[in-house]
Formats: sequence, C-alpha cells, structure tokens
Amino acid sequence: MSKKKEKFWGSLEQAEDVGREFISPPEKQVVSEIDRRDFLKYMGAGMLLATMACTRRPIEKIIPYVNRPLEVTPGVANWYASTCTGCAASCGVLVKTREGRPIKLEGNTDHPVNQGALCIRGQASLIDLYNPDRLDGPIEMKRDVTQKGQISWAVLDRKIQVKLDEVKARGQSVYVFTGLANSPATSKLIEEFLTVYPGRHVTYDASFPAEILDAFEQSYGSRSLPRYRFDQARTILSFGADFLGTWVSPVEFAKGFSKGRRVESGSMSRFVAIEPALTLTGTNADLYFPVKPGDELLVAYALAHEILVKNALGNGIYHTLLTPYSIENVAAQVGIKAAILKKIAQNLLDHRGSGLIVGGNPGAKNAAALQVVVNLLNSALENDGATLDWSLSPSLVSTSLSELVDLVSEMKKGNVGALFMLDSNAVFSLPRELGFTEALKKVSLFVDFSNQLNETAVLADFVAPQTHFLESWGDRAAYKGVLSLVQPTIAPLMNSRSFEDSLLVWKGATTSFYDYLRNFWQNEIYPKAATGVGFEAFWQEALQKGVVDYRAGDDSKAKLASSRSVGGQALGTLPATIKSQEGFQLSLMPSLQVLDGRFANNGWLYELPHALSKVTWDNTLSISPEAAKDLGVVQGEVVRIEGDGFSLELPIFVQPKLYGKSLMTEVGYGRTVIGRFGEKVGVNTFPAQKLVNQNIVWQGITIHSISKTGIREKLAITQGSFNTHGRPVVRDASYSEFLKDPKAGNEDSTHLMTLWTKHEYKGHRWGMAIDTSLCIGCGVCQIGCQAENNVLVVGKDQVSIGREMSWIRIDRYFKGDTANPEVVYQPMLCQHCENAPCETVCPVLATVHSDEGLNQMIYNRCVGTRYCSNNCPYKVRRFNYFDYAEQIHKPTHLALNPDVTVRSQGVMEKCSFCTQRIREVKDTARTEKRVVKDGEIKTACQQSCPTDAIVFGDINDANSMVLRWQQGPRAYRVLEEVNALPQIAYMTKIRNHEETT
Amino acid sequence: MESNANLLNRESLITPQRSYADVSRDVCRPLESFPTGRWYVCLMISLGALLIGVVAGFPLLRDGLGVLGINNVVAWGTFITNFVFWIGIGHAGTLISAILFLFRQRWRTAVNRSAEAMTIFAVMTAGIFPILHTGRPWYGAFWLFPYPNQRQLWVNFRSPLEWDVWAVSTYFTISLLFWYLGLIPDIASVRDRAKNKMRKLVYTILSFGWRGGARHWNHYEMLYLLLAALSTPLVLSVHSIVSFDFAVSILPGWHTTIFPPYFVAGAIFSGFAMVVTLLVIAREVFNLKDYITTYHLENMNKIMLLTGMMVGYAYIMEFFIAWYSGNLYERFAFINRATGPFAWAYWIMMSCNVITPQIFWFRKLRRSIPIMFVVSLIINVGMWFERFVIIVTSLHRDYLPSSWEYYVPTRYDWAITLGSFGFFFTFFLLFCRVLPTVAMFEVKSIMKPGKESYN
Repeated sequence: MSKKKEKFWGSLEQAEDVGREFISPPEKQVVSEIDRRDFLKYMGAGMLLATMACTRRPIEKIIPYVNRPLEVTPGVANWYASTCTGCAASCGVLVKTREGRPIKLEGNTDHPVNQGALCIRGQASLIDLYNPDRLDGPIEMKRDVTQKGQISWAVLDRKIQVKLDEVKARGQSVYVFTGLANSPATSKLIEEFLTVYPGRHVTYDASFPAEILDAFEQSYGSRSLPRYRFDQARTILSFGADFLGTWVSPVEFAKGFSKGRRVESGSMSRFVAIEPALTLTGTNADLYFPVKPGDELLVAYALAHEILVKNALGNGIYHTLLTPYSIENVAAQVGIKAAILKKIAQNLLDHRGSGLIVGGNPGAKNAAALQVVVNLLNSALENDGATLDWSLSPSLVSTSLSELVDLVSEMKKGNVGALFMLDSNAVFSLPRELGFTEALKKVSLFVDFSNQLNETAVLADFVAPQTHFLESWGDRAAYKGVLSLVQPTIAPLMNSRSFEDSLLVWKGATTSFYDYLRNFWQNEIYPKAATGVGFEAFWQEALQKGVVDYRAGDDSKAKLASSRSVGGQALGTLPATIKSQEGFQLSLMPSLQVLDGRFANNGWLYELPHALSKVTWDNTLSISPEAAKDLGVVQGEVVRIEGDGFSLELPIFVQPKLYGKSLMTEVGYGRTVIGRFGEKVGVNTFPAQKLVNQNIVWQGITIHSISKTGIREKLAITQGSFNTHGRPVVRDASYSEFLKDPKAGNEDSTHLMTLWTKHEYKGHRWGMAIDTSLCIGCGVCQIGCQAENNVLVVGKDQVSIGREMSWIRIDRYFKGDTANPEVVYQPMLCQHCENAPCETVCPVLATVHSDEGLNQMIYNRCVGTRYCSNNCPYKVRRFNYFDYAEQIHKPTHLALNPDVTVRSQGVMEKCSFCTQRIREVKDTARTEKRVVKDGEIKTACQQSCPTDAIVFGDINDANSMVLRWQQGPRAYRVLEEVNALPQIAYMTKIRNHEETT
Repeated sequence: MESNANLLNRESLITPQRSYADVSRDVCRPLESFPTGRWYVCLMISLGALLIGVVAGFPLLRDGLGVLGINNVVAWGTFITNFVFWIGIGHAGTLISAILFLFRQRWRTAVNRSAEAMTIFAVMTAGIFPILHTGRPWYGAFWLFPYPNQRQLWVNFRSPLEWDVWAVSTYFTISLLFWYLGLIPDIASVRDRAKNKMRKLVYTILSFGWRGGARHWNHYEMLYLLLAALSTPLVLSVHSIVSFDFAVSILPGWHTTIFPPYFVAGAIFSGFAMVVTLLVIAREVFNLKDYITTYHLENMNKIMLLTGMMVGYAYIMEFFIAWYSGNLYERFAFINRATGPFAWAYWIMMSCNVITPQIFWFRKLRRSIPIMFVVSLIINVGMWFERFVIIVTSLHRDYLPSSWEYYVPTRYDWAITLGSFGFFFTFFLLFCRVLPTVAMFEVKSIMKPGKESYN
C-alpha cells in the first residue's frame, strides 16, 4: 500500500521537481496513501469478504484414539499367546499383533513342546489368515462347483438342522471326520454332538505315522504315543523317521536333539539313520545308510538279533523269530557292512537306558512291524520308560485306518446320513482303492468346513468356512498335563464361523464356543491343575501364558526304565519272511513344505527352498546319481513313471544319499482345486499310494517303467552348486578329532593387512555366531526372516532365473562319496563386514557402516546400480527387479510388519540384523534406565531357530555369549582370505561318526 | 608441412590428379545435393533399429529392470557390456585425431573427422546404458552428480562408478570440443559455398565467424595442438577408469591389475574396427574413395593387427597370472571362462579377436575391401563378447558355489542393444548429411595439385 508510483521524467529539471506546478497542483496533493480508486477497490473487496465470512469449510473429522482400545498403543506390538493348530504337535505360539493385526507368529518360550521355536509351516500359517482365496461366507455347493451359491449362516443353519433331523429320523448315523484331534474341548463337543445325532468321530491325518500307534497298541495294549526324549538320548537310531522335519512333533524333537549336539557341553550324542528314502533328519545323521524300502526292517531284525539273542535278553519267543536274521545273514542283503552293524548294536548296548530308537515315516513299508521291532529293541535296551516317556502320553484322538475303512463301507451301504469334514482333504489324500469319493455320493448330507475351496469341499452339499486359528477359540493338549489355549487375535476377516460354533448351533445349544470352552476348562481342567487360585485368575493366567502345565514330577530327569515288555501278540503281525524287492521303487514323503497339501496355496512355503533339494514351487522325482546315470536322465528332465494303476510325470532331481534304485517324491503338491498361489504347483503324487491290508503304503511302491517324455523343465533351484569345489567355505571335524583338539578342522586365520582405518565402536558392536554343528537345515530362519522383514514372494518364474528375495538362505554342501556324501548346512546372510566391499563401491552412499557395526542399507537413497551386489563375495544382496510389493494380493498386505520399509522397485535390499528389533530393545532399556542385557536382542532368524544354532549380541560386551562363541576354537569366518572381516563367525561342523570312548 | 626427406616410394594419400576444388566439391557433395537412395536405405535400417530399442525401453522403464535377464548374482549383463563396448568404440576417434596428430601421421587427415564423430556418437550411446541400467533411472540420472542439495546428500568418491561419471563426462566434453574445433574451418567453407539463404545462415552461425585470416589460423593451430595434448591422456584414462569398475572390485576375474592397459588396447582395437566398418560404408555411400583410400584402411588394419595381438597377449597373460597367483578363486574363474557354461562366449571372443586379425599379416588380404569389412565386423562382435565374457563369466560363478547362477539375456536385452546400434548409426548418417565427413582443409594441406604425385 505504501508504494508510490515511479514517475517518468523528461529532463533533469523535471527529475528534480523543477516546474512542480505542472505535475501536482497543491490542491491535489496526496493526503492519504490511498487514492480514490484504491479506496473503492478495497471497499468492494471488504464488502465481498464480509458476505463470505459465514461460509464454513466442509467438515472432515479426524478422530484420534480418544477412546482408544485399552490394549492398543499405536506403534507398540501386543503379543498374545495361542496354540498352533497346523499339526498334532500343538506348539505354543506368541502372536505379534500391531494395531490389531497379527503380523508374526513366534514360538512360545513357556510352552514345553516347542520352547520358543516354531516350524516353517506354523510360521507361514500366518498368511493363510490373510489369504485372498478364503471363502467369505457359507456356500451351498450342491456337490457341483458350477452350481455353488452364497448363502447366509442363518439359512445354512436352518437347512442343516432340517437335514440332520431327517437323518436322525431315518436312523442313519452322523460321522465327524477330522484330522488328528487333540483338542479336549472340541473332542468333548463332538462327543456331545454325536449323542444328539448318533454317530462316530473318525480321524485321519495323511502325514501322521498312524501305523506306529497301531504298533504300540499291539505291543503294549494301549493306543497312545510316548513322549520322545531326544534331549536325553545319547545315541539315536532312526529307521527313516523324519523327526526333524515332519514326524510327530518336529520342533520339539529338534530342540531336544540339539541339546545332545552341543559339543562344548562335554558330550555329543550319536545319531545313526538307516533310511529307505532320504529325509531332512537323515542328512543330519552322523552315520547314514540308505537301504531299499522295506530293508530297514531287516536291519532292525539284525540289530535285535545281535542285542537280544547274543546277550540273551528278553523273552525266548523273540529269539526263535530272530534266529534267521543274524547280522551276518542280513548285512550283504541290505548293503551295510556287518562290522558296522555290530558297532551300532554295541553302541546301543553301551547306552542302555539312554538310547532312542525310532521307527518309520508315514506309510513306510511294513511300518507296523518295524515299529514292533523298534519297541522290542527299546524295551530290551531299557530305553522304554526312559527316553520314551509314557507318563506324558498325549490324549490324542486318533482312530486307526480300519475305522476309516469301516466308515467307507458304511457310506457305501447308505448307513451314513451326514458327514462333517474338518481339517482334512480326504478326497485328495485318501487312497483310491478305498473308494471314498464314490461312497460320498451315498451320503445325504456332506458338509465341509474348509475356509478355502479344496478337492473335498467342491463335492460337499454345504461349505461352512471355519475361522482361521488366529480368529478362533480353542484348546490343545500336547501332553498329559500340558494344555494350551487357542485364542483369537483378530475378529474374523471373512464371514466365517468356527467349526465348534457351527456344531453348537446345529446341536441346538445357545452358548457360544467361548462359553463352552470356559465351562469345560472350569469343570475339567481347572480341578486337575489344582493351582489354588480362583478359576478367573487361573483362566487369565492360562490365556496370558498360553499354557497350563501340571505335569507330575521333575521333567528334567530321566524316568526309570519301565519293566514293560513287548506283548507276544505283537509278534503275530511280523511278516514271516522278508524278501527285499529288486528294481525301482517309489517312496512318497510328507512334504516338508505343505505336509499332505493342507498348507498348499501359501506363497511363503512354496517359495522357501526345499531343505533337501533347494527346489521351490515344485515337487520333484528324486533319483540317486547312480540311477540317473544309468537311465541317462538329467536334472529337470520330465520322466513318466508307471506303476500298478498309476502313472506320474515328474521332473528329475538328482539327489545324493538315496539308495541306488530308490525314487522319492513328496505328496501334497498338484492340488487341482486351489487358490491363486497353488495353481499348477507340482504334481499330485497321491495316486501312487497303495492300500494294502488296511494299511496305507507310501514306500516301496513298485515302478514298472521309467520313460523320458522329452520335456525339460527349468526347476527353480536356489542353490547353484552343492559342491564346495575345494573351497574352504565350510569346515568340519569328527568328534574324536575335536576331543583331541578343539580347533580340529579349523585352519588358523590368515593375517591380512587392510588399507582402511578400522571403524571405531564406542558403544555396541553387533555380531553373530552360527554353529553349523547344530544347524539342521530346516529353513525356519528363512520364514522367520520373511515374516519379520517383509521379504516378498516373487514367484516361480523369478526364482528360476535367480531373483529370489530371501535375506537368509541355507547353503547345503556335500562332502566325500557322491553316493552317500556328508552334509553341511550353512545359513548365509549379510555378514555385516567390517571392510564391507559393498560400501566402498556404492556411488551414492546408499549402503554405509553404522557406529554399531551394522552394514546399513538406505533404501530411499539407492538408485540401483547393483554394484554392491556384484562386489559382495557372499552374494546376499537382493534386488527389486520389479515392483514386487505391487503384486501383494489384498488382504495379505495386512501381514506386513509396519516397522520395516516395504522396498520399492529398483532398490537393493539385504539382511539388516533385524535393526528394528535392536532398536526396540534399546528403547526399552533406555526407558528403564539400564543397559541392554546380553541375549535380550534376538534376531528373527535366531528367535525361530529350533536348535538354537544362532547367537546374536554385542561383541563389545566382554561377557556376551556371542563373543564367547566367536572366540571359541571352532569359530571361523567364511572367505576370511577376502579380508572383508565379516561380523558373523561360523562354528565347525562336528560329526560323531568315529569310535569314541 | 611436407617432408622431402622420405626416400621411400610412399603411396599417395589421396588419389592423384585431384585439385583443391575437387576436394571441396567431392566432400561437400553429400551436403549440397539430395541424399542418395543408398543413404535413405541406411537411415531407414538405423531408424528401424532405434525404434525397436525405444519400444523395448518403455516396458523397461515402466515395469523395471526385471524385463532383462539379469538376476541377483549376475546383476550386470548386456547393458554394462554395451556401455563398455561403446566407450571402447569411442577410442579410435580421439586416438586418430589427437595421438596421431601429435605423431604427425599425415594419413590421419582423411579419416579423423569421421572417426571423431564416431567417438562423439559412441560416447553418447554408451552414456545411455549406465543410466538405463540403474534400478531407478529417474534418480540415478542425477544423484550420481555431487550437486549441493538440501537433503545434504553427497556422492561416494571411493566408488569407481563415480570415477566413471567424471571420466566419461570429461572425455565427452573434450572430444566434442576437439571435434567441433576441427570442424570450424570446414564449416566456413560450406558456408561460403552455400547458395541457399537458410543454409548460409545456419552454417554462418556454426562457423563462429571463421574468416580464415592468419590470426585465426594461428589461434586455431595452437588451440588444436593444446586440445590434442589434453585429449591424449584421456584416451588412456577413460578406458583405464572404466576398467577400474572391474579391477577395483574384489571379484575373481575382475580384480586384475592388467585391466587398464588391456582395456585401452581393446578399446583401440574395437574402435579401429568400427572406423573401418563405417568408412568402408561411407566411402561407398558418399563416393569418397579418392580421399579415403585403401592406404588409409590398410594402415588401420595394421593397427588392428597390433592391438589384436595386444589383447591376445592380455588374454593369455590373465590365464598365466591366475595360475601363477595360486589363488583358488582366480584360477577357477579363468578355467571356468574357457570351459564353463559360458565357454561358447569365451571361444567366440578368442576366435574373433585373436585369430581373425592374424589374416592381416598378408598384404593382399589387408588391402581387400570385402575382407577387411568382414574382419572388422567380426572384431566388433568379438570385442562385444570380450566385455560380455569379462562381466558375465566372472559374476556368474564367484566365491560361494552356493550362489552360482546362469544368465540368459531376454529379448529386451537384445532389442535395446540393437537400439543402441540404431541410435549410433542414425547419428552418424545424419552427421554425414550435414557436416563434411573429411577434413577438407587438412587434406588440402597434404596435396600437391598439378603434380603426378607428391613425391
């Protein structure tokens, strides 16, 4: 307003105001700085403003947590204890929720089964919760997928109740078909339901070795499972049981197994595996012997002969049976040297009462007979009652296969009026010979409870989608006296209802399952637990801790040997003569990834490299190198195998450690009715299974011909070479060498000079140590990392051209003999090198060293030259070739960890040592005005490791565990000679495979 | 400028019996007449190739680098191969114009202009690749420069990629100046010959007021000499620094002290091959056979023979040192090159670069236009594969056997590679249409019109 207009002047006089009268007459002299025109302008504008002043802006309320939910603090995770329902093992889990969304599953350290760890399938079941293919509401399927129609729960309830009453009126029975049932409340509810509508409860779990239950029943008269105490076993002998992978309770067994493998503790267990088909467990054996399917029974006989007959142990009737099977007679047939078998027998005798012998995988040839002999051995060696703890037998409801056979015949007769199918995909996994699918047609009401469509659900009348276990109430009994609760951590994402609630409604009850469960616990569990507090307090504590443990006695000590001996009637089931079969034989294995197919349609599991083959997104036909050579087939070549009534086309994977003519493949793949992730993943190998004498046979299936199809498939294998090519990347020694010199197998480190000045670490300096002796190669760390760090799934096409995103991988190397090599697993992740080669070459300083020794990756600064990856000797950096995050299917994005950036297209990423977890603990410590305690920070890989092979901590802390490990005689650094000075030390692999005192 | 001391009967540098006027007329003809059909055919082919590259570039920028064949292990592929290849091509121009100038090699006069133009276009082509191959080119294009910014970001001067930025941009600037300086007197000639007003205006501006006075020539000669002296070390430094991208890393097969001289020799080798390829075409298309004679081409073939043997020596020496070092990884890297999954690429490289040029020992073959054309193409292919072999075979199997991987370029790799040739040739063809391809005033300086032959 204050400006005066510049006037132009025509002459100097004018400029100096000479002749002023011509320019501004006195009467017009400016009084105010506003002239008339400006005044009018301002007045107009002012009036306009005055009229506008009353208009309000549109109201858009943003509401903070004024009444915020009591438990939710934005940015702070809540942890809820629950129980994993993926298999019968019933591991306790802690569910990490952020702003009400479950984002990670971790093992519950208070739970005596898994003690803090959780298997790959358990951890990956988190994203099943967010699976976009989940059903949203009940479906009237009418046994035809093209006819399906969405209905409401009310309509469903009405229709089912009407039908159930019809069934009851007709006098037909109602069958409830479930997986292995170890939920006391649910079992009770089913029982009650079946009193209202008479019928039976049948269970079937394709990946559970139910034969061993049959054998226990024959041997000891009770159909129950002992608690296997791998932690107390000094010598372990396994006949093909994959107890570290899928067998019964793998996480618990891995925990226990690892306790005996800590060489620094002064002793080391010996593990001998005799396997008809290679398992993850077998690769961790000190001594491994591949045999023909069925021959493991012969070996068991021979060992029993050596132990029982020669030492005159046990009942005489066994001796007559065992006479023909002396080691000398058997050795040649099974291809194991007699001297070795004798040593094994001697070793078992030496560790009487502290040995453990376990039987076969599901569907093993002569599985029940094998288990009977195993029982015989365990009893004779007084392991029974010691390492096999019967005092804690879980109250598992598991019916034998004969009941299933009965069910099918009842169905065929038309006696089954209604069939409820829970947690089981029977149409997919039951043997064809059983005729289950055909028999279904005679059932007037067939209801499936799957929350995603599967082969069985599409044949149902109704699909009543049950909630995911993270949305439901429930309980599990892992052992006698060890109970845990399943509690919901999120309201059902889809319009689904728990099986139990459905059952309650159809039964005519008005209570919810929550009330039912509480009542059940109040009446059944609470009195037994006898805690002395009120029920409310007991219930609260159970919910909080996730587990109620009222086992009697001290758990840590070995139990006294039982005096039980194997019942004579069991011997009747033993085959009179055993002839091992020649020619190619196929073995089906429960999948490490998807078990029997129940975890199919899960991207995390599909993309996790298979522990044995490192193949992703596929099941393969594993074949020994020798057989591959004979047949002239190479990796990836698709072959057709034909047996009795089936033919399969599978890509070849050449697998060392397999018996010459053994073929091996996994079940659970090749599902046809499945969601978007599982489409065309692998081949369904269930058609190869056989039903022989009311036993399902998965191993030793005769193959008549193997022919080439001429097709070559590119397998998505994540490991380039299984051979170390003479490079000292893994180091190993035998236990006897280790006892003589703890540094055995570990070369002295080379002293190299460096051009750079060393970093200074005034506060913390993070480091890691990994014991390759303990690592069993299960891949749990990879899934744990994936969940924690938002590592994205990229799909088969990307993995097959080498673009997998996992921040940690497990390298597996073979050593020695090509047919039966020794195996070393080596988890490989960013080494956070002191002289990081990646840091110097980044032109934009997107990867730099922190003052706590972390090699940091700054995503928003990265332009993606990928030079860092080229210069990384460990090749642990991962590049976002596409915008993979764009491809997340909603609502899976809810599973992302909000503490970790989701990386965008064109940036590099890699292991951060879980910097957000470090931050969290440091913040807590600061709030509590204390220092960070050793072991307080756990990286995701470390946390999930079932064998505690990973230690993380502060190297600057003189008392830290990680420093002790790093300075130990077994510690070495990978590629030390490159002088990158990695912060991760590896411990040599120790094998107890020689005679030691 | 002429020396009479040479008693040997040297071949004339241009076809005898040409007058100064002939030179101007012949060289300016392509500029002053309508292009020939052959030129149009060449341009259409080049534009077609360029178009393929541009079309392939869209998905590359939209979807990400995933459309290429590179992966976690082989993170650099055809793009960096192309980058090094084109930078290498760019070497002959500066070598001819600067080093041969300082050594007073008079035969350079007929070929230096087009060789320098080739340098400029090759460096331009090369420059596309480092930017396109970054994951986020929209940042990569400028975050590599240390400009002051409020985010307080700086660059890492320890990174060889950063050195590249400076080396290549310096080289491009100096080469451009040097080339343009040499063009000024000739542009002035074109200006003076121009009959069309527009044409006159454009060339007037481009000639910077060159009048050909004695002072102009004096300044020109001095500046040209200085720039020649400045660019001479650049010839050596640029490819040395490009080789540092590899030599400074710790990868077996990359971490090699022989790389700088080996890369420079290879660059000159490939550069001359490209010059021969281009000149054989250009002298045909623009009818310049009188000025770019067999003698010129033969000289360049001799240089190819020499540098070919130098790279051959480097290939063998690398193997020897790998064995002599006793380094497990190093040894493996080289054995893997010759016998591993990429052995085919290695043997293409060896046969194209080491064996093929040996036929230039024979004068007759060395002077045969069809043969040298084919050989120069083979050498171009071989040198492309040399870079491919160095980059891909070293990366695909490095320290940990667990991370070994194979690499298959996709159609996008090939399309954009093809596009880069299109880009280069399009520029070159346009250059031939609008600027004199032969340095007229320099050629005139070595002529003796009216004599049968100048010696």
